[in-house]
Amino acid sequence: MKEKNPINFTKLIERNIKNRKYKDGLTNGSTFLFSLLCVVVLCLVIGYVIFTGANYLTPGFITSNYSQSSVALRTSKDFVFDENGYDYSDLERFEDVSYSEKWGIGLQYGKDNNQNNVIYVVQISENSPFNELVRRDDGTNFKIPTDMYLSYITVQTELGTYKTAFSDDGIDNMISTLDSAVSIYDSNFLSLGGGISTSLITTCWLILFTLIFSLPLGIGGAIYLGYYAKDNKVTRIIRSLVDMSSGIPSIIFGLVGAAIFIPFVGSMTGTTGGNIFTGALTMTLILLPTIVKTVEESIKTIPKSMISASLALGASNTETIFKIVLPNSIDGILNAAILGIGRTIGESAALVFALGTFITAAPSFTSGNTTLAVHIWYILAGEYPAYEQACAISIMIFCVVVILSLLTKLINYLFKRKREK
Amino acid sequence: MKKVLLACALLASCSLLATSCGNTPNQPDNPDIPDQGEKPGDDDNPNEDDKPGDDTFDTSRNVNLYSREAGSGTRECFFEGIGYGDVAKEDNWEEGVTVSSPTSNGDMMSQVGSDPYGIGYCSLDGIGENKSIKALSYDGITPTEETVIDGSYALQRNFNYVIRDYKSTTVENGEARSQVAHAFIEFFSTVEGQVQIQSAGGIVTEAPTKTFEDLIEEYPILSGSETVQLYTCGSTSVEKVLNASITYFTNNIPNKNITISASQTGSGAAVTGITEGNSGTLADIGFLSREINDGELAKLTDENIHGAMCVDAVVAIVNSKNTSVSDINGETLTSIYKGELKTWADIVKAL
Repeated sequence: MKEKNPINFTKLIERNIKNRKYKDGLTNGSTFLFSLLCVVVLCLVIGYVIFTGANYLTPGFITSNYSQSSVALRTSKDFVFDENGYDYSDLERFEDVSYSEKWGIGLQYGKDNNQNNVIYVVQISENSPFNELVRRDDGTNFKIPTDMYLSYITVQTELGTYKTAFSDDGIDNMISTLDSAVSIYDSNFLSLGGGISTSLITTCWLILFTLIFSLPLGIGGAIYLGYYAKDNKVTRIIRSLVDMSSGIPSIIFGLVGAAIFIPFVGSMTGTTGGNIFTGALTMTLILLPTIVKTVEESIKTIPKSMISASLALGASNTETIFKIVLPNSIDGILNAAILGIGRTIGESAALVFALGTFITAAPSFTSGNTTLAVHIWYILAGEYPAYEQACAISIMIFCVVVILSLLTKLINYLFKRKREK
Repeated sequence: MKKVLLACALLASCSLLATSCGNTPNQPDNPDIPDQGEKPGDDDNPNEDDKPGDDTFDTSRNVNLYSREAGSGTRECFFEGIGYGDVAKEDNWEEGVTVSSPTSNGDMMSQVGSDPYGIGYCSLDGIGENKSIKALSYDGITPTEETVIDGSYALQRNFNYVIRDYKSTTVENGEARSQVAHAFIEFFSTVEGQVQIQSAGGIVTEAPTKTFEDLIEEYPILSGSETVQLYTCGSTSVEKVLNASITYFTNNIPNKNITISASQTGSGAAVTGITEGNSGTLADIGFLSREINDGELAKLTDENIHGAMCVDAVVAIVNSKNTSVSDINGETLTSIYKGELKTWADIVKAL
């Protein structure tokens, strides 16, 4: 029976330790696996957005309007093609430009905002009849704009029939059509279209007004909660209400915005429907809890001794707030502003109600508009959902949000270092 | 060091995955983004494209059915055309048949385009350069402008319009609106209007009757300065043709105070939109991607002028990876949507 000695006991412990290592490995491994899954999903989302949208994020896409404008030009009614021909020797020849020898113009492929090939008139000879084209609406002479593409050209042939060459059918077809023409009956120049310039500008305006409305209110609330309010039941209820309201889905705020702010702003300014102000007021509601919390946290970190010292030196509460509390909580205020900007850019549900879903030709303070996020919703809801453009806008929003969060980190770091000094 | 390597490998594999997922077939690789797949350790990562069944079409797989929602003119045309009228207007699917319902032509194309075993249908003008789907010929006839015009391609329908009755409905500025609405409809039969329709993929069957200049002369309001705002409603299928026409029309008439807003929701909203209105406001022109039915005709008065704007074809589509079929007929399509032909092998046999 002597075999049952302490050595067996140590073996048991060893086995136990082995088991534990195995278990630990399993738990550690699973946490690693889950975080890996998160990273992969995140990378997939970002990767998808970037790879789909990057090609579409062009300067033209950012600067052009959503709606297209069209200018139709024709040769004037008394135009007769000079059978002796024209002198186009002033045309400088390039390899990648195709020329119509009959009309003295150079055509080249370009891209529209859908990355489809379109045709631009890039060169016109001084003697070309294209210099004398007139607008179809008022008959005035019109210089062919360089930022508009030629969507089609309808010509009159010698037999008096009409013949149309579309941009889609290529340059060669267009040039052969031009060769058979005796006059240009209708040439339609279109601006790029499909761009996001209005939504971009509206987003900037919305951010500005939202901050103007929400920061004073939020900072005021934070000063009350962090400085004046005594720690009693009422204060606690207010605090928990602020916490709760940050959890309310934004679409409910949107409904409130539509039900209260649209009539309210309407009665003051005579507008109907959503506009930038109703949007900004609704965003103010959404942002207030965040701003109050962030600024209050920052006020709480101010040493009590500083405030006491200020009061002891005879400064009033107001003076203490403006000279001690606010300057020392500037990091919180900046953080709140940046968080607010990020939230405003990304918000869509509330703004569908409170701001509108119409992509207008120019930003307007009196009628509905869209921000970038609502623009995404709009172009995906249409008959031909534009996923690529939506991804391109997403890249923009994504970049802004990343920059803003880096900025928050930087501000926190700078102020922390300053305080340590 | 190990961790750094691991992180690198992770990033590389993620970016590879993202690349394979993110590239839709109809767009080239972005040359600006450097290829990150050169790090060691990548070779073990199976690329999604290498998986069997991704490129090869497995005919033993079940067919996934796609159909537009009830009320769509495209749907009505398709099912009436193939001879399965029971489901043209309502979801009377046979028991056990599941059908996904994309809500627009574009939605249909992207859903069938991402489902190798799917079958659906959409409007011919929308297909354009979409490379993720394949249009099937019908009864051996390829859908093109020519076959639609000569009538040999059977699955075709008219895009129809109907104008509001300005005499019996009260409306501010009624006379001016009526003038512009009628002018806009007549625009479709001008040389320029027909070009707009063609440029947006629509097919015109009749020769133009006048020019844009004639139209402007005929309707003095187009060269005045009165502010007129028109609203259109109805079919979403006409959207492309309609938007192109509106852009040209409003930009190139001398009166720059005329605007036309299109808010298209579906053919079913066309007649109700101009007779009863959606949420109180009556639209000026309604568009349908099918014929006006008897129930709707009963609501119209003599003042509600209606007619055809252009012709469009409805095309049965499958995923571009589908190599098993390229031609189909009404009988087979009916059996497919009835759930009688379950797999692609069944379909090939039936053809």
